[in-house]
Amino acid sequence: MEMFNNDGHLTEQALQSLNTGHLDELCRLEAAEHLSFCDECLLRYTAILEQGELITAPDTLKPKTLAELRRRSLRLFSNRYATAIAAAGLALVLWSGGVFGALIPDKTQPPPTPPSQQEQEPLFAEADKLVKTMNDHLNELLKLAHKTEQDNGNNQNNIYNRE
Amino acid sequence: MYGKEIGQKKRVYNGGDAVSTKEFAQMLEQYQKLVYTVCYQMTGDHFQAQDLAQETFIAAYTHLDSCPTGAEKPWLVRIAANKAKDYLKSAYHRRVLTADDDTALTDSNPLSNAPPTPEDISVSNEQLAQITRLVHTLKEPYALVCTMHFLQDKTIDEISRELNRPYKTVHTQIYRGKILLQKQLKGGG
Repeated sequence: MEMFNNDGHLTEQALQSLNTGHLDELCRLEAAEHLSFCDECLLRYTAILEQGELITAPDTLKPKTLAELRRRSLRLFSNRYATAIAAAGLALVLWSGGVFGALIPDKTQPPPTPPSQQEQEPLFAEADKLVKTMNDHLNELLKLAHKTEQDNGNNQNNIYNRE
Repeated sequence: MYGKEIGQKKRVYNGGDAVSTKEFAQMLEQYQKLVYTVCYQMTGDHFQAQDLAQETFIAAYTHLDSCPTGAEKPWLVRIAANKAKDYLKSAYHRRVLTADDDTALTDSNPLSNAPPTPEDISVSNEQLAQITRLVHTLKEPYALVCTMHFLQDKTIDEISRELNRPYKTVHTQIYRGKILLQKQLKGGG
């Protein structure tokens, strides 16, 4: 059987054989490669599919796909916002510690005297509170991500244990 | 209808746009048989077909804004064919091409890359004539690309532009064509 005609397109016989599952592995690969760039053959193949009988997908395809999309969305969300929260927390800690003030010296004023140990303690306590809040938020996000992964893992085990 | 509306509504995962997610779920429901059929026809395996169908829809969701209006079916079929192509290519390479004996790429072989000696040139003329004959016996999609590459000395870029085929596809077809020619040469073809 000829897979391709002289102008490089898939023959009608090749498309019909693909539709009926009568192509070997190399021929299927060649067909897939050609369909990945040839619009004309893609439309012909799509038309053959529409005229024929389609195979019913397993019931699990839709829920698994949607679950995977939710998992990826959550991971993207947690990555993005965890980074933002970490950056904001770090900025607050540095600001509370007076780092930004020290970086921009005021030359008209005499250099400030460093705060005494007693004056620093409330600042450190405040910074500690902010860091703890940030950690709590991060832990919540990680728990949620972990729970979603576990749920998906349980669903997958159930599917592949079926015959 | 689907692609443009969904594409305009949202593009990036934000975990919460219920309207687009619902529309996508409807799209999934409507075309899952079509996509699954393509994946099964390409692989012949139900488990693999399910995995590839899932990857197809995930890729479709990511690139919804590129779906042409009114052409969702061929667009999805193409994504499915691409996923199947990647899978089949990997499986084929592992199973067939790594088992091939590549020692045919010797210095006396015109298809090798070593610089020829004067003796090699006189021998290779005869072999070149043989290769020319063999190239003309190749079937498509290898005949044309091998003729242009081995006999007309065209580069992959030039062939890709002339035939309007992707660069990687031309590269793969030349590689497979070369292996077919080497097998025929070894077999005394």
